[in-house]
Amino acid sequence: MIGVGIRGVTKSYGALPILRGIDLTIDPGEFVVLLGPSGCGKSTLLNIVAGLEPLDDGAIEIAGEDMTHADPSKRHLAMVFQSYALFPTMSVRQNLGFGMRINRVPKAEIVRRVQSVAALLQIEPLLDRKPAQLSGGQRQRVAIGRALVRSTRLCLFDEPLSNLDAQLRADMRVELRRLHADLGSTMIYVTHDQVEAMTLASRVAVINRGKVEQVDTPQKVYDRPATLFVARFVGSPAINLLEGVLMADRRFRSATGATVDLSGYAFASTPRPGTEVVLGVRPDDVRVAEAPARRGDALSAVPAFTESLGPRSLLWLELDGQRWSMYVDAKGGAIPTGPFEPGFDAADASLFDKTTGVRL
Amino acid sequence: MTRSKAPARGLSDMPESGFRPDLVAIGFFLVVALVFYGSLLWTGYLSLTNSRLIPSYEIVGFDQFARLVATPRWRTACVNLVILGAFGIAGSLALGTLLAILLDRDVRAEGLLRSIFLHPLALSLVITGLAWRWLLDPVTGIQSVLRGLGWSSFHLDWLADPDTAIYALVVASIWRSSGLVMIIMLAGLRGVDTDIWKAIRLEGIPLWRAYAQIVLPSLKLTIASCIILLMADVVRSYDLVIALTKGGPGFSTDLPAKFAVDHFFGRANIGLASAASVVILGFVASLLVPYLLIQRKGRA
Ligand SMILES: Nc1ncnc2c1ncn2[C@@H]1O[C@H](COP(=O)(O)OP(=O)(O)OP(=O)(O)O)[C@@H](O)[C@H]1O
Ligand SMILES: [Mg+2]
Repeated sequence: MIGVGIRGVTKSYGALPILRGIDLTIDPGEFVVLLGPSGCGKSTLLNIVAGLEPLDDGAIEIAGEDMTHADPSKRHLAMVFQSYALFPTMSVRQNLGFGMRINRVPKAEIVRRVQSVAALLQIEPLLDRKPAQLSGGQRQRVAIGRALVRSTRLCLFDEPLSNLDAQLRADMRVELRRLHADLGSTMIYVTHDQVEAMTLASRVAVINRGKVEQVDTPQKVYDRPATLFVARFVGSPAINLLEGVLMADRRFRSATGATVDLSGYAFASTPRPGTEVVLGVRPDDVRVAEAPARRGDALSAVPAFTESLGPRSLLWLELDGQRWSMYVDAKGGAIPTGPFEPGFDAADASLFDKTTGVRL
Repeated sequence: MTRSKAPARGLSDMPESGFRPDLVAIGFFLVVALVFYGSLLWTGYLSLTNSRLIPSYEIVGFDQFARLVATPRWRTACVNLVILGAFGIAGSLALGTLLAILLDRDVRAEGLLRSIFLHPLALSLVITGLAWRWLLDPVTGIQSVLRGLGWSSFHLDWLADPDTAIYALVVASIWRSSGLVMIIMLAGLRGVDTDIWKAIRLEGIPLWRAYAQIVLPSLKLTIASCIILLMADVVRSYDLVIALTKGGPGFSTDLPAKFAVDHFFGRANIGLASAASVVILGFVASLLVPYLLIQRKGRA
């Protein structure tokens, strides 16, 4: 179990900056997920950590050593690729053992390690097949197996599940969690799928346009997004947003004049009245106000339509010209049909500076 | 006429204007079938007769084939075909693959390599042959240049020696064909998944082992296609022989195709020439066997 330090890494392709100063410390045994939209530079960062791509500036430390310019094969790490990258003409057994054969590991040791990884991943019956004779999920297992044979201390994954169907993806997620728990390996995992990030990560690093926006536990990232981007990117259905200004008495006022009392909100610093802000509330936190204020400037929502999700339904609302959503109990029956006043706990909400996007 | 105002009605209009594209196509195919397969059958028939200057229709069975096998010149031609095939194909494949690997690894000399090895593809075989004739000629070629530079003992007259002349053909044929192999293999190499290369680098696999044990084996269908194209090239080497050696010195660089042509037109022995042609057809047909095998394997 080894830690990884990413120190001020920058990278451009030609004039196009891809990574703009990435700092990230990964502790031994952590499962860190790099989450971000397509093209934000996740794979580039992972390749830089692996040494498969040169960096422009910054440093990479692995196990406390400076590895910025070390050869990929000398970095004590293994990697699983999106396209699996199995060697097509070799059997599964040869795929697992080839790297060790190259490095002159004794035959008996190769056999032993291949066996133990095959047992761990339950791929023993597949050992004599060629990659072309395997299903996608089996190929993925073999690819993970090849990585584990190489190193159980640090494993990098680049969207390893994105070529699998939804059911298999769910199974493999469980599998990966189990592996991480069993082996305690340090894992860095790239994905743009937030469900994967939420279920696998001990910490999530959300990346946008070559910058780390937030590094936190999945729950923190969801509950207290550090930036407007994170709030928007994480969560499905998306977070409800409303633009407005902050007033002197810690009240939020929307463009149409509706106000929300934010005295229960934990401001990071003393708010400056007059700041243009964006208010964000997760659909889970919105409900029908129990004690409607019935003031003239209260929020008012008009139900648009519902989506049944089985145990509960998602109610879509029209609120101040914005599309909001909230969960309603399908069985409880209390689904509003006319305009009503929505409520939420200010402590559950998020408030962002409109110009910088930073959480207030 | 009101009809002319109607929008164009495509093929359905055609019969009335008297033009039948289908008939034209059928006619075309008939001509091809008649000329091509007709000649084929005709030659096959002639090979069983005792024709000499003019075709005769007296069947003599396989006499012509027996005579063919007994002709030393024919045997030399067949041996030459094997030499040209084995060394030419192996050489072109090796050189072409090596060049493709160099190009794929972004060697600087890409432009130079392209012009040396791709231009022959665009040139007529006759020009290729002539170029090599000059290069290998003791008076005008490499020998005189190197001697002029002071290496007075340098000796290169392959074309003059009956034992080595065929290898001059091999060299010319390698040069002519390796460009083709190069572009086909380059396309194959460029198609190799970049993740595979990353995995190779991560495992610390040396480059030559990566090519020998991972990359080239995964291109075996591409390599097989190259071999088939190269075999076809060898069988069609007639022009190269004509331009480079005209079959000489003596008959030392004769090829079956040249043998057949000579006997048809030069020596007025149509029966023997037809028998030779049928044997050549057999060679060509046997090329299809590996092709069909690959196709079947590709589908399985
Ligand atoms: N070799 C290259 N040359 C030029 N630009 C590149 C190269 N590789 C990647 N890029 C660009 O760098 C950016 C980041 O690429 P990267 O592969 O890291 O994205 P990603 O976050 O992994 O996206 P995805 O989720 O789609 O895999 C992209 O805009 C891409 O176009
Ligand atoms: Mg990627």
